[in-house]
Amino acid sequence: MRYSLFPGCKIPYYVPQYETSSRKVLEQFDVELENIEFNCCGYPVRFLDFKAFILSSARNIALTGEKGLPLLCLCKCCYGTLRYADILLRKDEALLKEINGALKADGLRYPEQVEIKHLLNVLYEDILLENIQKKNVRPFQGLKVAAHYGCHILRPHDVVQFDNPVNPNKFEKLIEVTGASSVDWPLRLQCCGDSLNGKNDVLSRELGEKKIRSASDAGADLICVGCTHCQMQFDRIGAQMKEQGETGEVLPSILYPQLLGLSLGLDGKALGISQTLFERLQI
Amino acid sequence: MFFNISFYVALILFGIGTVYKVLMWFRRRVGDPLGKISAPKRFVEAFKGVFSAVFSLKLFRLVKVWFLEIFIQKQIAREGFVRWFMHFCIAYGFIFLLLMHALARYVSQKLFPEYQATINPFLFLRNLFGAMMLVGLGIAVYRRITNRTMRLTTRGVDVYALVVLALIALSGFFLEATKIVSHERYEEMVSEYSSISDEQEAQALKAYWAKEYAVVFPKTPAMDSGSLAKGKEVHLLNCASCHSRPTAAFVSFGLAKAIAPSALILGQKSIRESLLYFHFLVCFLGLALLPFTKFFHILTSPLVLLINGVMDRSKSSPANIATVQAIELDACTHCATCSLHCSVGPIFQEIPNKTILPSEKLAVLSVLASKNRKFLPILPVISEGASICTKCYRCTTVCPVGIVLQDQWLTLDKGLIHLECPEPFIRIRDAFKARFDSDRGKAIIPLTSAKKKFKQGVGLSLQGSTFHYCFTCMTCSNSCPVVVHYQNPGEKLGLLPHQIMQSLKYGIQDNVLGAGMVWDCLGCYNCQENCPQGIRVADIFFELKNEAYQQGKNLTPGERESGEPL
Repeated sequence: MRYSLFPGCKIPYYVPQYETSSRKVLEQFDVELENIEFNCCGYPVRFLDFKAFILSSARNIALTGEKGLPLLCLCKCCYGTLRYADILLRKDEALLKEINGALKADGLRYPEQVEIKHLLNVLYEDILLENIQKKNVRPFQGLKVAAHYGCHILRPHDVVQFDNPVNPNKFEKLIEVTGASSVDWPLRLQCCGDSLNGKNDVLSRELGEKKIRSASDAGADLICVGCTHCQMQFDRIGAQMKEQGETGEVLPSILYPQLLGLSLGLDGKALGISQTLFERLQI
Repeated sequence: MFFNISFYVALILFGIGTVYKVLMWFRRRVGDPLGKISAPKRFVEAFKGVFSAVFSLKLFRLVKVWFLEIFIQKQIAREGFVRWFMHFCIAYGFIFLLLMHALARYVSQKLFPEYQATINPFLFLRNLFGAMMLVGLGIAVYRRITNRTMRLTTRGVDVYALVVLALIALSGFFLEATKIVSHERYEEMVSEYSSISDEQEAQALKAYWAKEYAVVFPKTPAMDSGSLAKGKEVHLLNCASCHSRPTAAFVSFGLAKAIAPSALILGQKSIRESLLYFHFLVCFLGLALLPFTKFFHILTSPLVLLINGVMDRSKSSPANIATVQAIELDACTHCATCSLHCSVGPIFQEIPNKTILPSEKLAVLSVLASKNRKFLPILPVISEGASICTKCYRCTTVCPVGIVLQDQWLTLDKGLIHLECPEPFIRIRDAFKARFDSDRGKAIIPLTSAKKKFKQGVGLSLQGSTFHYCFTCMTCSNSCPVVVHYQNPGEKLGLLPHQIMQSLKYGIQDNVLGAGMVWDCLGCYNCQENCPQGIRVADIFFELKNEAYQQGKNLTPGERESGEPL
C-alpha cells in the first residue's frame, strides 16, 4: 500500500508527534509513504476567499495526482477541506477550468481521479481491523477511552463519507481493537472548539472545557483524537484548566496512532507520548 | 591621492554605517514589540550570551557550523546543485578577488613576496575569480527572470547587488583588455622599465608583443621570424620577469581580441583612466553603502548561522531573543527560498498581497519595528499577510541563513495586536457587528435588496442559494453547539441560524453580515447535516464571511473603531 502523506501545516511545529507516531504505526502494516512538498490545504483561508481555498486544495490534489497516489491526511480539517474541494471541482466545470488555468502556472493539472483518505479511513478500510488485531501484541486492559470523532470526518456526510454522521462507531471499533474500551459520552460528536481559538477565545475555551468534563463524567480515562486541531485544542484547554485550579479530573488527549502504537508494542518515547500520558496509561 | 581619499571616505562611511546597524540591533523592537527591554540591558545580555557560548563546549558546535554552513554552505546545496554553485561562484569569486586583488598590498604581497598582478598564477587567478563571479551572477539573473515566485520578489536591493557586482567585474575585465591592446601603455612601460637602445631591438620587441601579447600598434611592425626571435630575446631580458602572456587572463584576453579593431581608440589613456576610476568608484560605492545593502549579509548571515547554531531559545533571555531577531532582519539575503517553499505561497495567486510571501513579510518587519507611524495605512495589508501564514515552520527549516522565521511571525502577530490591528477576521467581524448593533432596535429595519448574484448562489458555491428552501423548523439552531451553549443566544449571537436563512430569503444581506452567529460559527456542520431541507447552512456562513471580507478587508484601525466605513 502506498500513499502520499499529507501532514498539514500545524503538525511540523505544534504536533510533530502525530506525524512520527503515524509513520511508526503505518510502518507496521507495510504502508509506504511518499513525501511531497504540499501546500496549505486551504482550510485557514476558507472564511476569507473562496477561490484561494479551492486553489490551495486543488494544487495539493494535483500534486498527488501527478504521482498517481491516494492522499493520506492526518488532520481532519485538511481532510474535510480537500474532500470538499474535490467534490466541488468535479461538479462545477467552469470552476475546474478556472482552477486548471491557475494550476498551469506550476505545470500542474487537476487529475481525473484521486482518492482522499484520512488515517482512520486507511486503518479501517485498507488495513482492516482483523489485521490490526493480529499485530496487537500488548493490548490495553481496563483502559477507558472517550472517542472524540472530530467534525470534518463526519460532516458534511455527503462530502466526507467516513461513517454514519449521527450514530458512528468506526472510531470506537478502532479504539477497541487496542484492547481499550470506549465509553459512550454525550458530547462525543461535538466540535472541540479549536476553530474559534484566536477569534473568540472565551467561547472556544468553554466549548473545549465542556467536552473534557463530559468525557470525564462519562468515566473515561482519556480522550482519543485523530485530528491535529482537536489535539492542539485539548492540550491547550487542559493546560488552562489545570492552571485555573480545575477541581475535577482534567483528561488528557491521546492521538489515535499513539494509542494504537502502544498496543502494537511500539516504544512510547518513539511515539512521542508525554509524561502525563504515560502516567495516565499506567504503563 | 584621489584613490586614497575616496577609499578612506568609503571606509569611514562603511564604519559609521556598521556601527549604526549594530546599535540598531539593540534598539529595534522587532523581537520585543512592546519595547519592554532597554537597549543597555539587551547589550549586557548579549555580551553575557556571547561570552558563555565561546567559553564552553559550544565552541565545538560553532566550529562545526562555521565549517558546514559558512565555509562549504551545505544548506544551500539542499536547494539543488545549481543554487549552491551559483552562490559558491559569487561568494568565493568575490572573496578571493577582494583578498588577492583589491587588498593585494595587505594580503598577496605579504604572503607572496614575488606577487605581481601581471604574472601567473595571479594573472590567471584574477580572471578565474572574476569569471566565477560573472557566471554566478548570470545564474542569479536567470533564476530571478525565469522563476515566477522569484520574479515577484525581486526588489531594488537585489537588482542593486547584482548590478554593482557585475559592474565591478565587467569594468575590471574591460580595463585589463584595454591595457593589453594599448600601444601607449606599451610605450610607457618600455621607456620606464627597459634598457633598449637601438631602433632594431625596439621594432623586434614590438613585433614580439604584437604577436604574443596582443598589443595593437598604429603601424603594425614587421613580424618575420628573424625579428620575432630577436624580439623574444629582448623580451626575456626586459619584460618576461613581470609579464606572463595575457592568454592566461582568459576573459580579458578574449575581450582584447574582440576590441582589437578599435584598439587605437579604446587603448587611449583617457579611456583606460576612466575605466580605472569607474572600477574603483563602484568598489568604493559598494563599500560605503555596504551596511545598508544586501552585501551586509556577508557579515550578518554567518553571524546569525553561528548564533542560531548554538542558541537554545527555550533557555535564552528574552532580551537576547529580541536582539537576535533584530540581527536576523539584517541577515536576510532576500534569496526567497522561504517564499519558494511557503505553504501558503500559492494563495498569493488569488489574494494578491505580497506580504503573504515570507521573504516580503520579513522586509516589512523592519519598518514595523520602527516607531514610524507612516506605515499605519498599510497595517491591514500586513495583518492580512500575517494572518494567512499557518506557522507551518517550513520557512524556518529551509532558510539558508538559519533565520528562525517562525519566531519572527509569532512576534509579528503580537506586534499587530499591540498596534490594534488584529487579523482581518476580527477586524471585519467587529466592524460589521458594530454596525449591526447600532442598527438594532431601530424602528425601521433598513431593507437593502440583495445582489442578484448573491440571491442566485451566494457567491460561488453550487448550493449557496439553498436557503430558499428554509421553512424555519429551527433544527439548525437547535443542533448548533454555539447556540445551545448560551442561555440567551439571541442576545449573544444577534441572529440564530434559522433567522439568518430567513433574512436571506427576504434579501437582507447587509444585516446578516453583522450577526455574531456568522462569526462565531465553528464550521462543525451540525446544522447542515441535520437540516431536513438539505440547506447548506454552514457553507452559506462561510460564503457570508467571504462576502464581508470582500467588502471590508482594508479597514484601518481607526475606521474599525468608528464602525462607519462600510
